[in-house]
Parts: sequence; structure tokens; C-alpha cells
Amino acid sequence: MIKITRTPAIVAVFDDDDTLKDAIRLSNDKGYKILDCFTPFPVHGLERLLDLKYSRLGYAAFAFACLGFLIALSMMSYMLAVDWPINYGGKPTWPLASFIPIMFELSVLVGSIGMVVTYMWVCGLSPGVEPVIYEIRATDDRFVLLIEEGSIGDNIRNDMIAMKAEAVRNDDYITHNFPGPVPIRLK
Amino acid sequence: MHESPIREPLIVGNPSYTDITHDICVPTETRPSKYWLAGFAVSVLVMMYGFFCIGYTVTYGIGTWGVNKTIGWAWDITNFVWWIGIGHAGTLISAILLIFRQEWRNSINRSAEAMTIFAVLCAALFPIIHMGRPWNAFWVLPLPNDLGPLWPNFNSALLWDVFAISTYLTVSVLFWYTGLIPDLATLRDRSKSKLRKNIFSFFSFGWTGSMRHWNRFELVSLILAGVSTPLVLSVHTIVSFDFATSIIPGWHTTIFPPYFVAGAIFSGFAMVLTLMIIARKVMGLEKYITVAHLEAMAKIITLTGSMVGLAYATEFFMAWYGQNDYEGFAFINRAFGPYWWAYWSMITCNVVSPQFFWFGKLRRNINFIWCLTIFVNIGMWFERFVIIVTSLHRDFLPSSWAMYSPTWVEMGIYIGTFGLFFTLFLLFAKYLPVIAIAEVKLILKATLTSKPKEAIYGYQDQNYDIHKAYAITQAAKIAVTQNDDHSQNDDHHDDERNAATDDNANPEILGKPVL
Repeated sequence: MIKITRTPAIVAVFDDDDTLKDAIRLSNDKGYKILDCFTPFPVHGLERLLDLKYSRLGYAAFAFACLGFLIALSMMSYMLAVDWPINYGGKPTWPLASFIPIMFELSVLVGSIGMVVTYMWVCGLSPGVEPVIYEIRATDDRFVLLIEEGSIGDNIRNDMIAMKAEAVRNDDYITHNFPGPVPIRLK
Repeated sequence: MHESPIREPLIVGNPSYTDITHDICVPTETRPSKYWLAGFAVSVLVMMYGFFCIGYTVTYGIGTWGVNKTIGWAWDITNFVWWIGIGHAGTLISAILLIFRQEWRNSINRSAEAMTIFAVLCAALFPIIHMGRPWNAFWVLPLPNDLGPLWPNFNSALLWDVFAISTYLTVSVLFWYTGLIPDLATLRDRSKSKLRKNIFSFFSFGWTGSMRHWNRFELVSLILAGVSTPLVLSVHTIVSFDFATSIIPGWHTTIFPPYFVAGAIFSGFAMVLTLMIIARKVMGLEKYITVAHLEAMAKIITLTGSMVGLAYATEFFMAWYGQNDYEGFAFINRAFGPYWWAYWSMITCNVVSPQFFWFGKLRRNINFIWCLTIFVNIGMWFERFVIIVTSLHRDFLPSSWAMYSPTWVEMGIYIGTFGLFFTLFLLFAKYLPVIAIAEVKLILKATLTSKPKEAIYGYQDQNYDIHKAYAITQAAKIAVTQNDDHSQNDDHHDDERNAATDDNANPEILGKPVL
């Protein structure tokens, strides 16, 4: 059963990535809890400010690539050496060197597909997923910061206005405990 | 992110973030123009004619082609290698240039990747048709079957090709689509009609632009670039193995893999330029695909064209130095035999013509670039024709020497693939953002903030005086050091600079932008 959590939050909308960064710095200094941040493009430097961990998707890619490599090696070995060995003019029936191109190709193929599917899964991206949108222009030119309201909502609101937030409003930050994509309307 | 002021701005006209969204999305949201409809109609007709010729071949057999027992491979394999090569520029732009942090790629990668996908589709048609019984094409796959099961021969370069090209197509589509998701979300949030919103909502997979997602997105792009780079080299290497692993004089050389890869990138960039020069004009994207972009691509054309020229010379040298009679004959015959015109067309188009780009004026002349890319496309087609047909047509046994000329069916199939390519490209250009919106926004500040405005001049700010920019920057630097105390007191100014250099691990060492 998927559990949906709604956290009361302050939504601050900025019109520039530098003012957003300033607001995040201020929030970090004052100890506000930043829930999420929505930007139209990957603003560099935010991951450090928000203390986001370096993604482990690289390990997933490597594991899938190894799987592809093993699939290719075992498939070709079984087919050429075990199941139906053919004598091509006395050449070896287990020609490892000839396997290299296909082992490489299948490593890349399985590695990329595996990594992209893992990425979609952990980001909750899938056809049919309804996005939770706090600010419709967050994919255009607005930078959105969500801060947990708690009992200090007024302080946060005033600080965000002082940090040149274009709009500050209250909204519920919606999360769910399912690790993958949830194809239901959350908002 | 700091960028040197002596680099030309990659975006001109000083757009805001929303201007970028607007400029790129509007062409997809308006009704198709008359020119688009006309182009689309012609493309579809040409494509239909191509499919008719394919149907004719399949019905009556390969005998409808000009191939004979001596020249078993001709136009079809030439076209196959040519189209695969066209595709390689897309991967070079999206993957290799990403690894090298070449930011000018950001406004051309989307359309170049789309070209990759469409070109590979066109290329894949040819081996399938050449099988003669295309409905048995799945026999190349190692599927369990009731013939034993009998498996394909994994020692064959032709089978490696099957795996290489299908992997290449799949990974290119993955790379392209992963990058497309955020832009589809932009289109979704802009859409006014319910239907449009639902369609883009479905295809944007629920993207919101959360920093957590962007964080992973960047890593996924980087890793896909990392695996695509050796992949693209492997694909054309394996295509060249189709020839190099044989014992035909003229094919049996170890130089083939790097030579083919360089040639592929060469022709691919030419095709990207041919299409982008038209697309930027028709769709009004001159702000994002600037003359600086075209110039950078022209430089790559000169580089890869020279590599190809070097490869031609090396081949000739090795044919002489190896003192193998058959090899020597094959090369003399290429240049002075009955197909001399194909060989010298190739040399003129591929080796001579890109050298014009050593002149800065010509490199920045859009009409000249466009004409030259057409020559490169023709030249690279001739290169494959020369390699394939001239090596085959005079084989070891003079009694079986033959000549080859294509029939209308072969020409029809080739022309038909242009129809297929342009149909797909026109659909892409009309319904999807041709420029990666998010990636252009990413470089907007870096490319504009460090440029002195006085150095930008001319029609639509297309020109940038590097020398003037350098002089202004140097003067400003001296002014800053002289007024050091003064500028430190200026709090507001200092904040802005800190924000601008946020990415630098240590701004003190790397230096702050002066302007």
C-alpha cells in the first residue's frame, strides 16, 4: 500500500538562479529544512548547496554492463563451442578474440538500458505518471524552493521576500514511500 | 561558471530564460507553414517511390540491380556505409563533445542526435534489402530455431555489424530521449489545449525539474556519453571490418578503422551543417545556432577531412611500400583505371575542398559553408563507392573483370532513403524542440556575462571582435587591481561575483570574471 505524505511547505518562486542560490545559502545558515528545489535546467553548484549525494547510478551502469558482458560471453560460448561446434577450416570452436566486438556491444547495450531504466525508476519517471507541479513556470524560467513550514512559517516567508522571491505561498509538499514511479494523481 | 571573454558568445541577442523557451517552442506550437507542408509532401512522395523500388527488388530479385558476379556489392553497401557515417556526427556532438566540455554542442546536439537515429534507420534498410529475402532478416539473430538449432557465425564481421548497429540505434535513442524528457515537460507546461497537454504529459514521464532528478540526469548523460564514445568508434570500426577482414586488395588494410571513423565524422558534420544552416534560417534560431557554431563545425570538417586525406596518402604509400603486386594494381587502377572520375571526384571533394576553411572569411561565410558541405557529402559517397566498386571490379582473374553501373531501381532506393530521412527530420523539426532548451539555458549566463558588450556588433549581434574584447578586458583588469580597496568595499558587487563563480572549487585561484 502506497502511503502519501503531505508536508505543509512554503513555496518561494525566484526569477533567477543566483537569487535562488542566495536564498538557499540563507536557509542553510538559518537552519531551515529545504524539501525540494525545482529548476528549468540543471543549475550547477546547487547540488553542493543542497548537500545532494553523488548519484550511485554509475555503479548500476557498471553492474548492468558486467551482466551484458557475461550474457554475450556465455551465449556465444554455448552456441559455438557447446551446442553446435562447427569446424570452419580447422579454426578453434571457441574463438575468444572474435567474441570481443559482440561482448563490447552487449556490455554497452545492457549497461545503458539498465542504467536508464534504473534512473527512470529512482526518479519515479514513467509514462502515465502525473507530475506534482508547484509552479507551472518551473520548466520555463522560474526557480522554485520548497521549505518545510513547521512553526516558523512567518520567518521563512519574510526571509524569502527579503531574498527577492517573486512569489511566496503555502502549499503541501507531496511525497510517497514507493521507491518507483506511481502512476496516480497525487495532487 | 567562468568563460574567457575572448571566446565568442554562443548565444547572441541577449535573450532571457523565457525568451529561449519561447523561441524554441513556438515553431512546434504553430500550424505548419506552406514550405513545411510542401517539403513534407515531396519527402513523403520520394519515400513512397523508394519503397516502391524496394518492393520491386523484393518481387523480382536482386537481378533488377546492376550488380553482377564480379561486383556483388555496389550501391547498396555504399549507401549503407554512407548513411551510417552521416549518423556519427550526432554521437560525436552529443557524446564526445560533452566529455570534452565543448559548450557549443548544447544548441546543436538535439537535432544532430535526431539525425543519427534517422540516418541509422536509413542505413539499416540496405543490408536487409540486400539479403534478397527480407522477411528472413531475423535469421541473423541468435534465436532458437528448428534447424538444429543452428546458430549464426559469431566469427563474421557481418554479424558483428548486426549487433553494433542495433546497439548503436538503441543507445542513440536512449540518449536522445533522456535529454528530451525535460524539454517535453516544458512543452507540456506551456500547452494550452487539453489534448496537447495529455500527449506531452504522457511522453514527458512526469518530469518536474526537481534538483534530485537533475542531479541524476547529469550523471546519466555523462555516463551515456562515456559509453557512446567508444560505441561510435566501435560501430564504424566494425563497418570497416566488413571490408578489412577480407583478402580483397584495396580492402585488406589495417588503416581502415581509424580512416572510416574519421570519414564518418567528416561526412556527418557536413550533413549536420547542411541541415542546420537551413533549419536555423527557416525556424529563426540564429540566436542559438550562431556563426560561431558553424565556424566550429567547419574547423572539425577541415580536421577530419585532412585526416581522411592523410589516410588516402597512407594507403597509396603502403601499396607501394608493401610491394604486393595485387595491392599496387588495385590502387593504380583506382586512380587511373576506368573509374578514375570517381576517384578524382572523391579527392577534389574530400581532400581539396575542406582546405578552403583555413581562411577565416570563408569559414564564416554561411553560403560558402553550405555549398562546401554538399561537396563533402558527395565526396564521401564517392569514397565508399571507390573503395567498394574499384576494388571489386578487377579481381584476381582478368577474365572475370567487369564494369558496374546502377539501374533505376538502385537509384530509386537510394533517393527513397532521402525521402525517409527528410520525412522523419521534418516531423521532428515540427513537433519536437530542435534545440535542447534546458542545455541552452544552462550556458546562457556563462556565455553572456563575461563578454564586453562593446565588442559585439553587426546584424543581429552576429559578430564579435575578439581583439577588442581582449583589450577591454585587459583594461578592466588593470582598473580592478588599481582600485582593489574600493571594489572590496562594494558589497553588492562582490556578492554578484561570488554567485557567478559559484561552481569553481576555489574562486581565488581560478580568478573571477572581470566584467
